[in-house]
Amino acid sequence: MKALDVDLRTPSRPPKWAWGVVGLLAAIAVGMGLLTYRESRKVDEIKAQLADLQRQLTEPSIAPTVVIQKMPYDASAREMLVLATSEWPAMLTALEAVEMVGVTPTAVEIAPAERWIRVEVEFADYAKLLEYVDALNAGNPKPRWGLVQAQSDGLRSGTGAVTPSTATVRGTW
Amino acid sequence: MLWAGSEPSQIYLGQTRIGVWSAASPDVGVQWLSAESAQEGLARGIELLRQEGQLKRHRVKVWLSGALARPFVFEPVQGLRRWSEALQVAAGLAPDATGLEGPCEVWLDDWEPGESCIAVAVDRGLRELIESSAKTEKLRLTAIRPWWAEALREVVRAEASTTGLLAVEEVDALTVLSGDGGVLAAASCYSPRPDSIQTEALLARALMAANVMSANGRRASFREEEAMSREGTSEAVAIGPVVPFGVCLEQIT
Repeated sequence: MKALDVDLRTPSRPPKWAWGVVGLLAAIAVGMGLLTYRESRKVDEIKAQLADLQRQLTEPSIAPTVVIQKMPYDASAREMLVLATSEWPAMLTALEAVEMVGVTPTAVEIAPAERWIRVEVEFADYAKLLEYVDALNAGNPKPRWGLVQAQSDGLRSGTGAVTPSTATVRGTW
Repeated sequence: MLWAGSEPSQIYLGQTRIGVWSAASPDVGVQWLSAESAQEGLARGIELLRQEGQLKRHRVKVWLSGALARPFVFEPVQGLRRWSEALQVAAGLAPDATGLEGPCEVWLDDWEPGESCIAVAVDRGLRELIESSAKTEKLRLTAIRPWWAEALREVVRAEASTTGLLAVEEVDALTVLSGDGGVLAAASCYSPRPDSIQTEALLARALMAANVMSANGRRASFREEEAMSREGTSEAVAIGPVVPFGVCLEQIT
């Protein structure tokens, strides 16, 4: 057995003004919903901007790229600068300061841009040649002069004269 | 305890007998009246309430006798899916199922598609009359309930686990309800009310059909019924119960 909560009254229906209130509340709810949606969109955008700014803040800054525009006289100026700062006069001085019997410089070629000087010599024997190179490097903790090549035929010509041996010495700075 | 003013006034409406209890004068108790019809009885009851005190904004609960609000079992109907459809079909079946004449309105108890349930039918015209009268007199109707439902509530509250059948005896009807385990399986109404010999035979058959021992059958009636029968008058008779239209329960023998 169970109790029955019987009520035979006509089910009450809400009056028209109640429907009006419900409609008004629904309209307000929809309006508030739209407003909330718009505001949430704005908040999302601002949050995204904030996150972007924070990310930029934490990332290492990239140094600005400096574009150097070369002037028309750049090459000539650089060449002049190289010549002005080159040590080739000192190398020539060293070359002039060393005189040795049996070794005779025959040609000098200077390339300031490449920072080297090449000297063609004639020599009597290898011992003198090596002694000449050592004399050029004397006083320098780091040798600047070096023997590039040496050629010694050791043949005598038909007149009885001996063809001199030649060598190339190269100095760098 | 009954507090004057906290309880609505009450009108018990039978086919020819009307009981009125006014919250404005609770000490007077229930006053019984006789009438030619329920419609006339309703008018007399409202008139009596008016005499007892102010009516404006007065709350009134209306009890209907078993003859006016009849229960029946609404069997499942194939194809019914919606509550409103079930109400319409049950209202259409109510006259044949209950013996009420004319179009009816029904109340359904927890109707589910494909399952039977208890239905209560009332004459549509009577319900409209009660509601329109209340509106005219500016009364607030708190409920329109069959009195047998109050007896059933009392039985369930007091002895739900042991009672399997309840026979509610009123002046104009005998309502028999049976069920078990929190379910109301059968409900029928006999109007006019059978005499005592017929009632005994009818209840014996009902107990057998419901497979209920007589010890588990209960008979419900008005507490005032005995006094009212003793008075046997058609004019207003003042009886002073503490609870108006209270339920008296006794075992079926």
